[in-house]
Amino acid sequence: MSNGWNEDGWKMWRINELGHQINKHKGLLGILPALLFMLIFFLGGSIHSVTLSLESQPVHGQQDQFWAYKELLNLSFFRSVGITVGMAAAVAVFSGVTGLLAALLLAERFRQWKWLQIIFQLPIGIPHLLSAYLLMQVFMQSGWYSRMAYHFGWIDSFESFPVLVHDDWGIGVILAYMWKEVPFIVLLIYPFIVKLISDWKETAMVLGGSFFQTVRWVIVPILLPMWVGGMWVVFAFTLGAYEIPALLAKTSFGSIPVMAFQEYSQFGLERQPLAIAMNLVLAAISLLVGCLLIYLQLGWYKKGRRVW
Amino acid sequence: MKKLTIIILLFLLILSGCSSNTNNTSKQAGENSLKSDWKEITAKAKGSKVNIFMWGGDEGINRYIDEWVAPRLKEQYNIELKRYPMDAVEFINKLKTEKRANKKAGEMDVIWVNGENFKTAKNEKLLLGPFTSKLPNFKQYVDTESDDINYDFGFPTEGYEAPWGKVQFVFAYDSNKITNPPKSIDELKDWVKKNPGKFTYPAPPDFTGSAFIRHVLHEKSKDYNAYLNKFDEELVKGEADQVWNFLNEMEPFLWRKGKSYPQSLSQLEQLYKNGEVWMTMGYDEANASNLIKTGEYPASTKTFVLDMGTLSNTHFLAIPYNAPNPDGALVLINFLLSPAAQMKKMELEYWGENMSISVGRLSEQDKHIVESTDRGPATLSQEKLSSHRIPEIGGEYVQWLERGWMENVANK
Amino acid sequence: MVKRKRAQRILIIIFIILFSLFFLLPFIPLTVWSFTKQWPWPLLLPEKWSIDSWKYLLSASGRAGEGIVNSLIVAALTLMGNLLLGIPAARTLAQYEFRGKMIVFSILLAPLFIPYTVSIMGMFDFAIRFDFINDYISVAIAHLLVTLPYFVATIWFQFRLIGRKLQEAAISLGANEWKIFIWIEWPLLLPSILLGSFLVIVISFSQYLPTWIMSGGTLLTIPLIMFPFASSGNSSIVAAYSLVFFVPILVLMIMYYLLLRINSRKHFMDRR
Repeated sequence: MSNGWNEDGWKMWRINELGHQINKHKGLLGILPALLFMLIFFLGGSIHSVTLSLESQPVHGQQDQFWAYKELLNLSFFRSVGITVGMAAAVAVFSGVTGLLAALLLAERFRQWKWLQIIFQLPIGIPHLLSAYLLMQVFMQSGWYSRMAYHFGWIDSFESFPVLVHDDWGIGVILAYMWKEVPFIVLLIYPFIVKLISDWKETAMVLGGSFFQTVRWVIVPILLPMWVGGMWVVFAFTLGAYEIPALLAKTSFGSIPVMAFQEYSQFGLERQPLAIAMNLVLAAISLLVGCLLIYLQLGWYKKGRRVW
Repeated sequence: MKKLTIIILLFLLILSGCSSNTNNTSKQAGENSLKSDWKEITAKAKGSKVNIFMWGGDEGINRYIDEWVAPRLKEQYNIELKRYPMDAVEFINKLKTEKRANKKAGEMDVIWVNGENFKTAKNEKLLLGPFTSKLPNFKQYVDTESDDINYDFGFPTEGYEAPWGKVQFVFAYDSNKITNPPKSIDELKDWVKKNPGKFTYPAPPDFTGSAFIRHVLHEKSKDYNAYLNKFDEELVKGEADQVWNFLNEMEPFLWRKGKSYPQSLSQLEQLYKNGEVWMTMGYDEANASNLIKTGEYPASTKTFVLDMGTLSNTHFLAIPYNAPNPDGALVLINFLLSPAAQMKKMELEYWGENMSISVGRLSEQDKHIVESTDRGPATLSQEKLSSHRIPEIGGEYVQWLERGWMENVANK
Repeated sequence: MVKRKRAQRILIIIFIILFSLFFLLPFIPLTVWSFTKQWPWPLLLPEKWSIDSWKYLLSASGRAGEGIVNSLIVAALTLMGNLLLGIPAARTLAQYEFRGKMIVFSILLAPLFIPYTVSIMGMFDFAIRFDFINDYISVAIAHLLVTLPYFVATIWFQFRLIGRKLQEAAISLGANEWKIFIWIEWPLLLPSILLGSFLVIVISFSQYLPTWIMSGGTLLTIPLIMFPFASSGNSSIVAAYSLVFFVPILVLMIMYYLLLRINSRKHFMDRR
């Protein structure tokens, strides 16, 4: 190799590097509009909400900025926090696992039945309030499924149909959420699963691996961050949404979004800070869970992405 | 970079170009309208646009506004009417926020309110001012002396809102399944015990469920009239236990053994339509007839009131402090109080609801029309209804009872 | 071995059928309800049919047309905003390293992980201060807030999968950023842009609270017209509105799959 090549190469590299430097900063500009937008509207809105929750209550006379939070310091609210978080976690985990399973099944069959994708994604188009309404129509004791059971001769009165709506364990709520969120998880991960399977199929065949081994060694490790992220999204959403528990949970269930909605809309305007404070507590919980997940993920990367 | 600047400029241009013309003089306009006489008001309202914000969950009511009122308003006053569906709580919230942000020109000209919402609005100065004395139809046809016009859930209206209609609480039942409906709260309890699972009520703070528990209070209280006065926590505390005991004794015999309650009136109605429960209720004496007519309720549905009476209330129309078109609002409200509009409202075709104007003040011909109006197969006679009417209690008691129910009955 | 395989296949098919029933069945009573007013237990199908609800929907009072048009306009504006803000942001996040990247990323995705009710409640005041802005645009801003994280996350992931190799090669051949984006990145991104756009439109379509707050309830999109009926329990009308609401979504869904297939077929040809 002659010296000349080296010099040319070095020059080329210098020019490239320079261009790269410029492009690097130019590229960074791309994030500014979106970042500014979020800062102004999301953070701005949230901070404004915090100030609203600290509004002192004129009715009680004395100025107490934290009255809303103080009012939340009681056993029944803590119980409600437990129930709400537990329910959101259950919804997230069930939807995540079922969604992964459904996406894998779809990917296994996608050559034969292409229209299956559409069926598996239909519920995405229905707003939560409507899906709550829709599922109530089928799951209630005098609903459509109970009528089918009656016509099949499995039950002879609607009282013998299992209680799925307004039940003790929130089964109806979880089912309704799964109806909405499983398709979401499928939508999120399915395209990548299909791509990974087609990319790895030959390798796996050569190495003699089965479909399930591909899932274990390829798909899950690569998709895990996205999958867990999807579950976190579901968790955060479920934590804050009131429609489904309002319609499908039993009266004494104690879901916080429902309580907040009642405070916000039914018990007079002076109690609104309380509703906002409740929502802020939920937001804080979601944030905490998120930090925990990120921490776990970093550890997982360090350990070399081992799943089990 | 230049391109970007141009794009941003263009964007801003579009933003401002599309902006609605806000006039900051709206508040003053409102005060002016309250000072001017009726002729000036109608003259100024000509050719304007009026926005009415009201609950939008009933097909018949929506059609009444859009199909009957709007074309006539256009024809008679050249005013364009637009209805926006919104819950009262929501628009009161909106007004409150607008007030805090000191927004002078709003979007709402007329709002449909009563009870707690009106009280909040009036206390927080969200309303334009006393205006009913301006309206010719109010002066001529409304019984201005009566309590159900001058008080709204025990709170003085003082002309800040004009009565639009009156409703009375009734129970509805399927006469194929029940022959002798109960006549009192105690009889109702006996009936529930004999027919377990066939009765329930919406969970307060649902409006209807909350009214149901007030009927229990009414029949258990030593002196119900005391609740019509100023809020006294000691009074309700002393008597509430009887109400909770009564409801808790009934609970094991309710739908789903009282483990859960329908979340709203609509869920209760759904249960009734499906046949899970045999009785329902509602703060509207003509609702059952309406639903029979549309085919949602079985034709065998009938209604009943309690011997000691059922609650009744008046609902009202008000004008927000920042109404963009107060003149148009006044003309609209006046039109809605006209005998023609009130009588049409009473027909089952649209709404089927009782008038807020007094029959005694109508012309002989109109009186005759009112008397011959068919209010539907399930609606009780006017005499039966008006002789079993009890007034609403103050808003603070209502909220106190709702909270109490959640603590002592739902979560006990 | 063969037996096990067959058992496996049957199990898979059973699961697929169960899933399909779970997702599909609730739509059947929905459709039926829109054509009847009375349908008591235990009838599988109602005895009396009626098209009153559809008549109402199409009447002046029903406003179905107005609702769909408004929903579409807002969704289109929201999508535009996402494309303009989301793609550059996702690109930067995927291709560049800089200090505080994690923080920037988490701010962008925050509405996904923090229930956005909180920020929307706070936006009430913004809505009133900025009421000179056209309703369509201010509602689209609120929808953008809700949808941007989904869009950025989807595009970002695809950018990561694409990597930076092709672009480096193009730079060394003298291509500028725009050319790289249009000729290299855009075609590779297309599937995820389609997915992101689909999500954005669907989410924008179903928003109630943000629409309500930003327009003060005056921009009547389908949810704003429909939700009062859902709370008053008029099953038949709710069902009819839901179907009207659902048709554009279904069309969109089918379009998405068709586009995706066209795109993948094109790629297939390219590879040959």
